[in-house]
Amino acid sequence: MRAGPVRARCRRRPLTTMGLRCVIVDDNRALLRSASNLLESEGMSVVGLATSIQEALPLVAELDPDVVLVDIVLGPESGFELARRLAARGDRAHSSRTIMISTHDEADFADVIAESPAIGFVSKSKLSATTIGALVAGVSHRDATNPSSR
Amino acid sequence: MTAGGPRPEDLSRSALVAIAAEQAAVCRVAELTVEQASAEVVFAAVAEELSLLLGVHMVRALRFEADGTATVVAARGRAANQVPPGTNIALSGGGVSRRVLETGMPAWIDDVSQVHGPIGDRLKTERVRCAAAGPIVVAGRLWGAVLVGAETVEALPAGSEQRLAQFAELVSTAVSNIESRAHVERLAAEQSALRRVAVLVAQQATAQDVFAVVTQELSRVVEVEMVRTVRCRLDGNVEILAALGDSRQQRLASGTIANVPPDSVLAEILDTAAPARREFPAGTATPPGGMAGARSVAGGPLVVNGRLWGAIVVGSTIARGLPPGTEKRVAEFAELLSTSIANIESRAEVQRLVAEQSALRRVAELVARQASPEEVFALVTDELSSLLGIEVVRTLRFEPDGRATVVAARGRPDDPMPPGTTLEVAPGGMLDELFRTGRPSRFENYAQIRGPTGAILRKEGTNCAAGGPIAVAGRLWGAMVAATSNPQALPPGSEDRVAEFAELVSTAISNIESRAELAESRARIVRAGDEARRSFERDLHDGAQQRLVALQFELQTIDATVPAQLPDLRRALSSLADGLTEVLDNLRELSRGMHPAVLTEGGLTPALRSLARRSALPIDARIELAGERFEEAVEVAAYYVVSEALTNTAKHAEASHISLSVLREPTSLALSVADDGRGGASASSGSGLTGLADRVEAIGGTIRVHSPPGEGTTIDVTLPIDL
Repeated sequence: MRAGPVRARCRRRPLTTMGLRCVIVDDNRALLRSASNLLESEGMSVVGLATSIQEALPLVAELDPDVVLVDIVLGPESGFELARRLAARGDRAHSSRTIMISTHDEADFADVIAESPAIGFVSKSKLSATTIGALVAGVSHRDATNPSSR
Repeated sequence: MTAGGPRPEDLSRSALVAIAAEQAAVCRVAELTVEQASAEVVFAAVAEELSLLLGVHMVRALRFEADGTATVVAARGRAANQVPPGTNIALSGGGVSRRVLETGMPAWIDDVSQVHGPIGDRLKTERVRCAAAGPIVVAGRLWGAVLVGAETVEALPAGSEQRLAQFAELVSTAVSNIESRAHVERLAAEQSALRRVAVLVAQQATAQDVFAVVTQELSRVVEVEMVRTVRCRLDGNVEILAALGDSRQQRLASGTIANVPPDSVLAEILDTAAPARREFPAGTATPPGGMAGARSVAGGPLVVNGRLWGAIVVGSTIARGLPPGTEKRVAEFAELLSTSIANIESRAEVQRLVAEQSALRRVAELVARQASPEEVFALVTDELSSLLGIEVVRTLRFEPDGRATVVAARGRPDDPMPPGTTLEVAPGGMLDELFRTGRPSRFENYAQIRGPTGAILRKEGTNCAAGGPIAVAGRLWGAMVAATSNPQALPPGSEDRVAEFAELVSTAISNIESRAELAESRARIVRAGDEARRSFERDLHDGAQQRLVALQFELQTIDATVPAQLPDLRRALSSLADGLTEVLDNLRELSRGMHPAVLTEGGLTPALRSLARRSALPIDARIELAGERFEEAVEVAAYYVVSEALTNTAKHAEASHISLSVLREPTSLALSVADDGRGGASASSGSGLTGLADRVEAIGGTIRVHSPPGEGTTIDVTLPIDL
């Protein structure tokens, strides 16, 4: 797997979103496209798109992105379920970071997010490379100060 | 007074003496009448005065009876001891008494040797040669006769009968006084007897007590030793209500069921519904089961509300038998009793109705409390058992295969057919007939019933059973059955009373079924509503919201590429983006109100926590569900209860603090929302609480709103969990 060196590169650039490799999972293809365009336009690298858990799992395994944006409601499926299964991949200690996205209010899901392996939540109306970068940077900062937390 | 008849030479003198003597005699009789002496004393005096006055040695005073006989009321003479007062005698043809009875006129016979029979014999014994008799007329009616006899024609010359008649006329007044006094006394006795009976009835004494008193009073009024009061039964037998003075009294305790002795006075009364009487001279016996040892038996029917209800029979062991007319007096007394009996009957009917009504009320209350069918069956079964006083009562459901299942039972401790037992319907038995006809049924002969069920019933000791059909929606659903070892405990007609209870069960089952249907349709409506809301929320989320979000992303993407040199374009784009955000915010609220996505995603705990976080008032939330998931209808109902309660409190309660608790009980969720506001909330005021109650009850939950004015509002909700 070529994932190792890629992630090493990511961690060397923790405070910038430039080139942050990202996979977006949302059951709405139109939204996937427009979100992808937006984040690309803001300097992120959207390396993969998926509309279901079944599509997402092998894609993430193959691409090993820095961050996976997961819509909470994946049609009949649950985005939290995908987040748990991504976290449960046993082949390496440092998996991709998951960020939940939704049109719903963060307050509605605060407890579920807190209990999920996701590092955070971004409302779709606030979606931007900057907010994602800040979340990733926050986790990376904690990693740096307290490596045992993960 | 001089002995002997008047001599011819002393005619004028003797006429004067006679007139004076007659007046003196009448005076003495009149004195006795005034003194209210008894009839016996007056008649004895009359006989003595006549004897002295006419110088005759034989005197009789007779009362004519309706049957052509006469009763001796006074007697003087050598054979007087043979015919003491009270003796009933037949009047021989050709005798003076008979002539008086036939003509109503005085009669005289110069040679009584032509008189035959016992009277002729007695006249010979008394050496009577010639006799005269005068009528006693009381209140215009021929009452009796005074009869005198002499040894010689000279001692009783022709014309003596006229003098006798004059005397008898004077005596009539005294007799009339005595008669009317006796009549008044009898009426008074009857009235006071009836009054005592009426008082007992008014005091709501038992029927047995009442009839015991009736029987005693009757024996006093009619002066008889033996009295039996009986009530007709549907099976043709009679129930002994009270028995008095009967040598078989021990075996005729009140409540005893007895057959009607064939060819008895009782049988005749019940056949004809009219008074009857029969004599049993020495050497004959009353019919078996009749009044043993009685010489004379009489009685009358008890007719209540136009229906032959029973009879009163009296008997006497005295050789001369019952006084003539006794049967009429008994019948008259019986007639006067009918009102009291009607009272007792209607009171018993009222008591039965009251008892049944309270049983019905208890059942209805149970049904209204939404008790399970099993609870309702159990209660109805118990109620019927105690009302009938029958120990074994079962509620059975007919199965499609023709068998029957016991759904409730009140039986003996080791009931061989406890609830849940499915049994064969014994062919030819009570249940079989009820199943075939759909009508109430009663059966008595379990010794003949074949098959396993018959064996069980025999072992149980069932000799008699009565059942009523339970019909639901026009279909024979099952039956209520009362069974007993004693057929008398379930007399014919009991099946109708069982049927009345079976009808209650029918109603209860119909209620339960319609309530179950109602609950099911309520739940279905709620589920359909929830489904519609969730589907609408999905459409909103997947459609409008995502499209608008995508549009927003596109605007942002364009915005990032618009050069800074085009500020007007950037402002326009920014304004467009703000509008979009506002629309999205509104859509989000709408979506959440439709169906909280978090409930589907994370279940009750995060959904309720998010509600608590958004509360407008400070809130203590205690949610202890361990993240457990429940049936969707339960989660949605719980969410809406809390959501609506919090909204209501914020809007109306003027509260400063809310306590929320959601606890997992073994079979339910217990929700409680309490505030410290002004109280006075009501679920009936058309507020949001009404909608909450509908939603909670639709899934079988309960809601209790406690909201005393000034003391805050607490809403307690329990939601059952299907495990």
